[in-house]
This record gives sequence, structure tokens and C-alpha cells, in this order.
Amino acid sequence: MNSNDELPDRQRWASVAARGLKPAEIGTFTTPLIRASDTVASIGTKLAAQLTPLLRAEKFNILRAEPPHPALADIPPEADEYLSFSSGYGEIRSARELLQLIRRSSRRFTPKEDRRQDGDIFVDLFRPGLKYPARSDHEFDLLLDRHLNSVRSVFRRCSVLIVALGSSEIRESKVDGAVLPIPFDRSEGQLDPDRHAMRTLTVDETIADLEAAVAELRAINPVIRVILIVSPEPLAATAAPVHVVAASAYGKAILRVAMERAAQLPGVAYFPAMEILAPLGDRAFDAGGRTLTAKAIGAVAAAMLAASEGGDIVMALAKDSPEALAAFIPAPSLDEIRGATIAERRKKRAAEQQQDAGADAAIASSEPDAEFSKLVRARERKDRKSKRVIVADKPEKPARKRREKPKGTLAERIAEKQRRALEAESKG
Amino acid sequence: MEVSLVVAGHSHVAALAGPKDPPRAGTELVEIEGTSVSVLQGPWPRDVNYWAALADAARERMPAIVWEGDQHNAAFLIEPTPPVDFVLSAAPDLPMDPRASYVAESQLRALFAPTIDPLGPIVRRLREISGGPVLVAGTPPPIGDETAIRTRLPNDPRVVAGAAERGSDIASIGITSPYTMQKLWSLIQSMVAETTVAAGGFFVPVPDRARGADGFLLEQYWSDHATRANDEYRREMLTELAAAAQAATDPAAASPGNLE
Repeated sequence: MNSNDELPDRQRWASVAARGLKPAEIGTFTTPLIRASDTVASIGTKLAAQLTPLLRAEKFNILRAEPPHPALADIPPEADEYLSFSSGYGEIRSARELLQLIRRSSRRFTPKEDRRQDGDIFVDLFRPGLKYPARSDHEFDLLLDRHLNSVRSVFRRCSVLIVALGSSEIRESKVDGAVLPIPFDRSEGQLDPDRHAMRTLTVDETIADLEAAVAELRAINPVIRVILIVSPEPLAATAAPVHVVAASAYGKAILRVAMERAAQLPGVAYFPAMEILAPLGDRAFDAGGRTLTAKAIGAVAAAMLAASEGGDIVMALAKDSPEALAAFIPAPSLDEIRGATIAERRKKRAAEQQQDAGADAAIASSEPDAEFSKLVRARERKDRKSKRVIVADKPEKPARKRREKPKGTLAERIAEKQRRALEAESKG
Repeated sequence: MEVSLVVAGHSHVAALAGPKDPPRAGTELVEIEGTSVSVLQGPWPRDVNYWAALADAARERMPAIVWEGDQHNAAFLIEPTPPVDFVLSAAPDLPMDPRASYVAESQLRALFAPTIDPLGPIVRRLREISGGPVLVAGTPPPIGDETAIRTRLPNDPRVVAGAAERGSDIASIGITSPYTMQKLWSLIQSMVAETTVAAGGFFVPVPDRARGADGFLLEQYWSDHATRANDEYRREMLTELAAAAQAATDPAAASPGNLE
């Protein structure tokens, strides 16, 4: 191909603009993002937590470890931040924190500084907002052990882990490199320059952390698949001596590049939530400009569902909350999702699944770790069919007739146009 | 001079009053023979009239409140699923039930707080009315022998009903580990003591002589109920309250606290 006109519609801005933006088309996936049989867990920023209820509503199996004990049903629930994810880890914002939690859950890393006594209670420095903190060192150790076991069980039991990260800026211990949550709130403790330093992870560090995270997750659960997302919410604050908007964009750019690299690993996919919402600008956020609106989250979820097994469930979501999609997906696109494209997609997918099933069966009968082999096999298929796109796999239009290249510079062409217009006017 | 006491409050008051049945309506001051202690009897559940009667009695006698003390039995004696255990911050080395799901002490505090918090305003009000010390008594610790508990379960209608509700019979229903029950009891005692002291009252704990080295109620104080102490315990506790009343009027005990 040597001309933009010969590219598929989704690869050309002019076509995308003409047809209307279709969020479900933005991602490129060679296999369903989530399968009906999957057990899904989420970790990361709020977006990771906000997506799972929408997936659960569509009958996907969402993993929830560490549920409140039924005998304590009458007490106020734990802070939302620790109830919204698959385990009570709270928000994880950077790749380093993700890797650190995986290592803590495997007891491969134990931070030297993990608690602070505040009167009768022992504050968990990694989960500072817990409503029910420990009241002794011994209790702290026991509750932490229970929590880390629960985290590990999430990694072991899920088949899909949704990881949404939003920052590359970290608060790092000078003692052992542990990364602590950044205290946005003064009550969470001030930065102690003797013990902690703020810095931004580099692209290389972030790539290394994500790749290590995937490898260590695989060591716990060889068949786990990972969906990586950059959370679009801007930073609340930055310690870097730059504008918070600039720091935010820089941090997300680092994550975006690192995730692109990590997504080359088998069983790892990048899901473009930030790209889906980018064209919406401020409309994706509430008046404060940092919190995604329900509509924006709905649009991301709809695109994720469309890329998952039974992609037509996007219709159910649209039916339940029409505004979630209608606000962002222009009518022709939605009609298309509801109409023939679904049928075509199903047909094609059924054929592909049949083909995949044959290959998988052959692998399963010959290799001990069949599930992992499936992943490898899927990767090989991806490599073979690098242009295969599950979502929006419309047949390509015939190449348009190439327009003749205009003569002269842009300024000369404008001057010529004006001259002709004046001539026409004087004649008229 | 011996201080006159009026003992009032929730279910364990009945044990302190002795075998006499409470009145069906209204309240009644029952003198305990051979002591300077009266027990305020009244219908269940306690209502505003009962507490008003205590306020009246407190004008002439030092009030001693027996506050709740059975929450651990109501919520945990029949073992929940999964079993529960926790680290008691006051005694972190007590054994843990390896079968249990561990919860935070602060969660259990949140569970019990709604039943204990109303004690504070009552203590404050009684202090205003009586112009003197207000005592709050500890409640009996649990029995530590699981077999002894099991043999007494059929005498507790609440446990029998609880077992039936779960579709189990009383002989086979799971019960919470005695050590966990002791920790729950200790936590409730601590919370009642903290609330009492914060409200300017004096907390009178169960005397050490009623508890074994392992902290459980000594066998000589067991009754035929798994959750109630016997008449001998009643006498011990009344003696303890009388001594505490004397101590509370001692100028040296001017500041409220735990009369241990």
C-alpha cells in the first residue's frame, strides 16, 4: 500500500470522521477479550473497579475474595476503595505498585516500613484508609497475612485480570525501594524527605515492571490473561516541578508505551480506554474534571463487552442504559452493532472457534499444560493473522480512485481560487 | 458506714436479684438480705420508666448498673459460618482458632458499639442526679469447658431456637471455640469499662477470684445455663460491688476509673 486511500476505513481519520467514531473499533484484538467461561478480577485505579459491575451485569463471573464476614453484616461496610476490587488492596496506580503487590502476595517482598501507630490503631501504610485497622502489632501481622493470602488467591483463581493504571509517579522508600501510596490527603501523612522520595518511573522501568508483573503472575497462575488499561483520570497532584496537566500526560504516555510493549507478551492485551474517551475531552469527566462520568465508564464497558465473547451483549447494555452508549456512539454505529455486523461477526467467530478448537484439542492431547499451550497457540495465530480484527471486521471497501495530485503550493492554489471567484463575480 | 447500693440494668441483674421473679408491670426494689444492696427489678425489655425508676432510686442510693454483657453469646455462641476469631489487643497471645476466618477487633467493636454506647449518657445522667459515684458492674465470663457448655445448651431457649432456625439439633450444632468466646467477652468488658470511665463512672470488673488462670469462669460458679453464673457467683459479685462502693466514696478514688 502506498496511499492512505488504500487503507481500511478504521485506519484513516477522514473515514472515521465521516462514519462517526465507533469506540468498539478502536481496539485490535485477535481473540475475545473476555470469554463467557472466564473468571474476571480487577486491580488498579477506580476505573478497574468501575468496569466490573458492568461486566457482572452482563453475566460475566467477577471474582471477589475477602468478602465481609456474614456475622458482621450489620456494621458499616469497609471504605469503598477497599471493597470495589477483587480483594481489599485499594487503588494501585503505578506499574511498580502492581509488581510490588504481586511480590508481597508471594512473600517475595516484605517492606521494612508497613505500619504507623496512631493512638490505639496501627495504620497500614499501603492501605491507609481502612475503616477497621488493627489495634496491635500482632493483629496487624495476622490481618495483613490474611489480606495477602486473599490477594494471592485472586491471582491464582482468576483467568482474566483487568489492570488499569493511571500514574508513573511514585513515592519510594529510600530504605528498601518500597512504593507507598501518595498521600493526597494530609491525614494520610506527610512526605518525609529523609525516608521517602517522589519520582517518575521511566519508560524502561515501567516496561520492566509490567513484564515482570506478567511473568510473576504466570508463576502463580500459568493460564492467567491480562488486560492492560491506561486510566484516563488526570493526576490529583504532582511532585514534579511542572504543571499537573503536563505531569499527568507524561505519566500516562509512559504507561501507554510500556503497555504497548507488554501487550506483545502472550495472553496480554491492551484495551484502549483512554483512546476511546480521548475524543470526548472534558465531556468524559464530571465538573471537577478528574472523575469519569457514568456515561464515559459505560462507553468503555460497552467497547470492552463488544470485544468480548458474545459481543452482542453490547445491545443489552445499550438497552439497560441507552444514554451510556447513545451519548458516545453515533446512531449508525450502534445500528451497525445491532444489525448485520453482529451476525457476520458471529459467523466468522464461530468458524474461527471451530478451527481453534481443533488445534487446541490436538495440543491438549499431546502436551501436559494444555491451557498454557492454548495461549501460545493463540499467540502464534495472532502472528499469522496480524491483520485479523474481531471487532468491526467489515469487508474492506474497494480502493477509491486516486485523485490527481493538485498542482502548486497551497498558497498558490488559494490565490488561484480567489482570482477565479473574483472573475466570476465581475462577470456576474 | 456501709454504702447503700441500687443495682439495675439488663439480664444479668436477674441473677444478682436471686430467685425472685421480676414484676410483670412496673418496677420493684428488692432488698438483698444481709447486704446493703437493693436490686431494681422490672419488666423486659427495659423501658424509659425503668431507667426513670433507677434515677429516682439513685437520689438515695449509689447506682450500680449491669449493662448488657450477653452480646457475645447472642451473636457467636452458635458458631457462625465460617467460624470467627480475632486478636484481642489487650491479650494478643491468646490462642487462635485455626479453622476460623480472622476479623479485626475494630470490626467487632463496631458490632458491639450500638449496644454499649447508650450506657454513657445514662451514667452521666445518674451522676448528675445522685451527685456521687456511679458504678458499672462486669458480667460473668464464659465457661471454658466445651463439653460442659454442650450439656447446658438445652437449658437455653435462645440457643435451642437458634439451632432450630439453622435446621440443626442442639446436640450437633457447632459452637464457637471457648477461647474466642472469652476474647469476645473480654472485649465487651473493655468497651463497657471505657464507656463508663469516659462518662465519669467507675467500672467494677469481675473479680479475679471468680476466674481461673486461663481466664474462664471457675467451675464452682457454673450454673445449669451455659451463659449464666450461679448463686455463689451472685454473692461474690455483690461483695465486690459493696467493696467498690466503699472505694468509690474514698477521697483517694476521686477520679473515676476502673476499680480493679
